[in-house]
Amino acid sequence: MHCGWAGNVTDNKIKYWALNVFCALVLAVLLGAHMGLMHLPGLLGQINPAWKDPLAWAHVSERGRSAAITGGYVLLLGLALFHGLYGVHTMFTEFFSGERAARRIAAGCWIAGIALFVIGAFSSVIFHISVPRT
Amino acid sequence: MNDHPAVEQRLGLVRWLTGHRHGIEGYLYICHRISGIVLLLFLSLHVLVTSSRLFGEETWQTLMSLTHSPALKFLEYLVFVAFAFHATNGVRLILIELGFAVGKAEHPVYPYRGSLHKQRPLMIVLMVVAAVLIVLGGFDALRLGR
Ligand code: HEM
Repeated sequence: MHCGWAGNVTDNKIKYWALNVFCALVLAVLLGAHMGLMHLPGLLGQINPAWKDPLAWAHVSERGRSAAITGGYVLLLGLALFHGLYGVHTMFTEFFSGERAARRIAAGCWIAGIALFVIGAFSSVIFHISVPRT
Repeated sequence: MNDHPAVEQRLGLVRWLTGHRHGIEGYLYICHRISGIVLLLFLSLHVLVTSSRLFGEETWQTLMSLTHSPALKFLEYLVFVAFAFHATNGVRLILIELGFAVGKAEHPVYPYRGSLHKQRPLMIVLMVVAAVLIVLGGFDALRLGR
């Protein structure tokens, strides 16, 4: 292998890049499952009738009751935000050069990422705690 | 002056939109960026919309009934298309970044064979996978959708 994955990873940029690629790999699996279940209900519903209407309130609440699914959502959200904002960061740094711009771009990405993560993770966890268990 | 590599890199948007003179892979690169931006914008909206489940069944049903309009169904399908393309092309990029499917180093004997040609079969296979997913998604939305 010709990239600095395993040994001599001292540069922060390489660490962030490796983390970004790792996020992409995990996303391919987790997001693949999520997209399949949410966007291919007609096809997957042929295999399991419970997958026919994933957006029905009954199914939304059922998923909300599961700690594993709630945890999975929070993980998926964190990975997608890190990966997506890393990409946006790359694009912006291609258009705007200089130390000051780099600091502002990084700060903007972190703020947007943390804000969205807090909103998404908070609503998933509170929903999990408060959804009726009957 | 302009043909100095460092200057050329700063051509930014022009280089972005002209396929980097790398043929089809250059255009896949543009599509990868655009689909990544689409997914991130959708994710931001998605986080806000799905948070509404905290307000109970009625709010949820009201919001979901809005998504039944044909225009929103179509936009939802476009998000699926962006995902199918971005995920498969992303897997291709990761495999290449990890050194798979780039071929062994060779002596530069004329006629030269570029590394891009060795990567092309992988690209074709993964784009076929993307196309199959996109067709399945369209079939689901049109024929089997609610
Ligand atoms: C489904 C799984 C996904 C895979 C396998 C994947 C893969 C990749 C890869 C390999 C790259 C290029 C990174 C590099 O080579 O350094 C990339 C870029 C990017 N991805 Fe993803 N990605 C996925 C999901 C997502 C999601 C969900 C979003 C949005 C939240 C996203 C947004 C982006 C953006 C904005 C870029 C930057 C494009 C660029 O800089 O050219 N990706 N992705």
